[in-house]
Parts: sequence; C-alpha cells; structure tokens
Amino acid sequence: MTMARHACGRVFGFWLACLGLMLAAPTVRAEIPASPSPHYVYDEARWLGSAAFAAIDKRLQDYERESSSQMLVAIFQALPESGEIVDFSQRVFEAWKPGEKGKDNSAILFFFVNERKVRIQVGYGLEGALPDARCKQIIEEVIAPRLRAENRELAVAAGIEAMIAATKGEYQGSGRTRLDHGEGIPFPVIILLVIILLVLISSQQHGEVVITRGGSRHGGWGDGGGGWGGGGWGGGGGGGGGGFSGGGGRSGGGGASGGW
Amino acid sequence: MIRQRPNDLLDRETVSKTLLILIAVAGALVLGGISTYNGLVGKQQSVDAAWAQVSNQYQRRADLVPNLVKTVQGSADFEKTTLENVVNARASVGRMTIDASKAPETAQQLEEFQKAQGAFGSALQRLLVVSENYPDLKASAGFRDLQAQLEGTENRIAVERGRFNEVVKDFNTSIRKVPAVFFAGMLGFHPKPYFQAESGAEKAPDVKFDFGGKSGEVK
Repeated sequence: MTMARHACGRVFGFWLACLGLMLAAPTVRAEIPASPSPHYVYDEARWLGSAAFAAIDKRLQDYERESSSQMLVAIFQALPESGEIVDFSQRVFEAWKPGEKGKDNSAILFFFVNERKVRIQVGYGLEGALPDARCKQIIEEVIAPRLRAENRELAVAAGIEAMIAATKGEYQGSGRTRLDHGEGIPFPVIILLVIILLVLISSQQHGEVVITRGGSRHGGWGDGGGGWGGGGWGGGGGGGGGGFSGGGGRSGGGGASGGW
Repeated sequence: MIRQRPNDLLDRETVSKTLLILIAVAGALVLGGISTYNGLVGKQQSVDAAWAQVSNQYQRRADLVPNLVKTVQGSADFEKTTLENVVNARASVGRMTIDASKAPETAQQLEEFQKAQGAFGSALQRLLVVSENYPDLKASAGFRDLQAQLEGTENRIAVERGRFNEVVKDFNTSIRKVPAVFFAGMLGFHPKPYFQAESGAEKAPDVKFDFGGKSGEVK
C-alpha cells in the first residue's frame, strides 16, 4: 500500500509538472501579464477604488451569466516600450482568451493611463454587435468626455454599460459563468486521475511491478497529453492564470482606439 | 508433422516470412504516406482559409470607398486629385484577377497583389492626411465613422496577414520534412509565398487622430 501511495505520488507529481509545462509554454511572454481571471477587471494602475472595482467586476460577471459573452476591463499604467496600442491589445486579447472557443464572444476595454489612450478590442463573435464605428462612438462620446472631466470610475462603468447595451441579445447566457462550470479540477484531469488510479489498483493486484509499469506508462500518456493540451483544454488555460476558461480569444483586430 | 524435406520447408517458411515482412513494411509506408498526405491537404486548406480571410479584409477596405467618396464630396472644395487617386487605386485593385479562395502560388502573384493594395492604402492615407485641413469634414459623424472603419480594417488586414504568414510557414515547413519532402512536389504541394514586411510606402495608413483634448497630437 505504501508502495502504491509512493507511486501515486510520483505519477501525480509527474503529471503536475507536465501540466505546468504545457500551461506555461504558450504564455511565456514577458510583458503580457496573467489574465485577471476569475476577476473581469485588471487594474495595474490602481485606477479604480475598491468599491468601483467590485461593482464593475460584478456587473461583468452578471453579464456573462446573462449573455455568455465575456467582457473585460484592462487598465495598464503604460504601453510597453516597444508597444503599439493595437498590436499590444491584440496580444493581450490572445493571451487572455476571453469568450467561448469557436464563438469568441468577447471584448476588452483597454486604458493606458500614461499615454491617455483607450481601446476597445473586439473578438470575432461580437464584431457584428460592436462594429468599429460603434466602438469609436462609445470611446468618443461616452468614455472620453468623462475622462476629460477626471471622472474615471464613471468613465469605465459607462463605457462598459454602452458595450453591454450594444451587445445585448447577441448571445444567450446559461445563467452561469464559465468559471461556475469549471470550478475546481478540469474534467480531463479528473479522467486522467481516474485512469491513473485504475492502473495503480490493477498493478497492485499483479504484485510488485508497480513502479516499472507505472513508469512505462508515463511515456504513453505523455504523448496523449500533448494532443489534448494543444486542443480545447490547453487553450483555455483553466486555473493556471493564463486565460479565461472559455478558450476563445480570437480577435481579428476589430474595435477602435482613441484618447482623452 | 513429419519433416520429410526440411530444407524445402525451411525455404518456404523463410520466403513467406520475408513476404509478410515486405507486405507489412509496404503497408506501413502506404499508411504513413496517406496520413502525411492528408495532413498536407489539411494544411493547404488552412492556408487557403487564411488567404480568404486576408482577401475579405482587403475587400472590406475597398468597399468603404464609395461611402468615403460620398462623404468627402459633401465637403465643399475638397482637393480633387486626392479623391481621384483613391478612386483610381481602388479601381486598379478591383481589376486584379486574383482568386480570393485560393492562396497565391507564386511569389510574383502575391507581390503584385501586395503592390496594388499598397498603392491603394497609400492613396487612402493621403486622403486622410489631407482631410485634416477640412475641420467641417473632420467634425462630421459620418466621416468619423468612416475613419474608425478604415482604421479597424487596416488593423484587421494586419492581423489576417500575420495569421496567413503563420499558416504558410507551417505548411512550408511540413512539405520540407521527411517523409513529405520525398513526394510533396510530385503531388503538387509547393512552397507558398509570404507577405513581405511592410516597406515605408506600404505601411498601413496611420489613421489615428486626436480628440482635440489635452493629449494634443496622437502620433
């Protein structure tokens, strides 16, 4: 029994390491921070008061429940040195992967405080509801005037409301967020754990070959793991902090930029 | 079994064994070949799909022109030549006979496409620069929307071009790998051309503009 436990520990450790590698590999990009998941607001600049942060966060969570679309706010202190606003927003969008895989029903409202720039970056799935001209209009008529009046919390909240108003009804929500679904261990991991457990139990019955057999199996699973890692699951990033659990995050560069 | 003629039997056994191995090897080769071929077909499809996206976005830019002309003409005494240049460049882009559903096969095809689109982009850029001199035009909601659409389209073009180059790279890499490299050429899989990095003239028009706020000039 101790042997089995030992082997189990090794197998589990091995798998944790593999998962870690798989999740870490695509997100190693120095200047792009981890997604704020489970929050919907990333506030590097400490721009929003805690009450406003919580209210906007809650609003966006509710909106996902209602519509399944994921909208985020990302407030950066500054653009990275080599960064251009559109390119940087695009890369953040692709790293955070908001929205559902295949639907890409998501948008991110960006602020760059030092540069006084705003950008709405829209995923493929909301391009119809949030065309560029509409984004421009929201930036120029809703957000920028409030920012010029130094009312940043209101500017963010009103901007989000305008984006919500524009996309309402585009998708139907399930009453839950994706994180509600995926709370805890992701499904494939559970299956893996069950398989590992079964193999361990059956090896135990065959006597002392536990470790060698367990060891030889690692290779096989490793190969299989690569497959699904590249597919649906690895893309999501799950609880790894890399992205939102939907695994969307494809944007064609739609949206608009502006300043204040 | 009574072994009457052991030599003969052995020979037969060896022969049939050899045959089996040969068949197995041939089978494995065929199966491997098929799966490699299928992989290449899939990748070629991805290249074509990415190309279709690129063409879509270029088309979208071209489609903005009629509206742009209408809006700009509404502004009194707008510089005629600038507008004409846009319309002409748009027309020469329209005359191109490049297939939107199939990625260009030769570097020359893609180069021509890129050149015409680049000229069109510069003409648009020029128009936007000139429009700075027409405050009434700049202030109109119609023109602002058009500017936003143009800017968004340029961004989309850049994104889709980047994605196109990625899948082309993937495709080109896989036809140079063993075993595909042995038969890819025979089966009509040839390396596909990339979009070249933007030269000065070809660079997307910088259509960002300031809001007249404190920030002043934006780029």
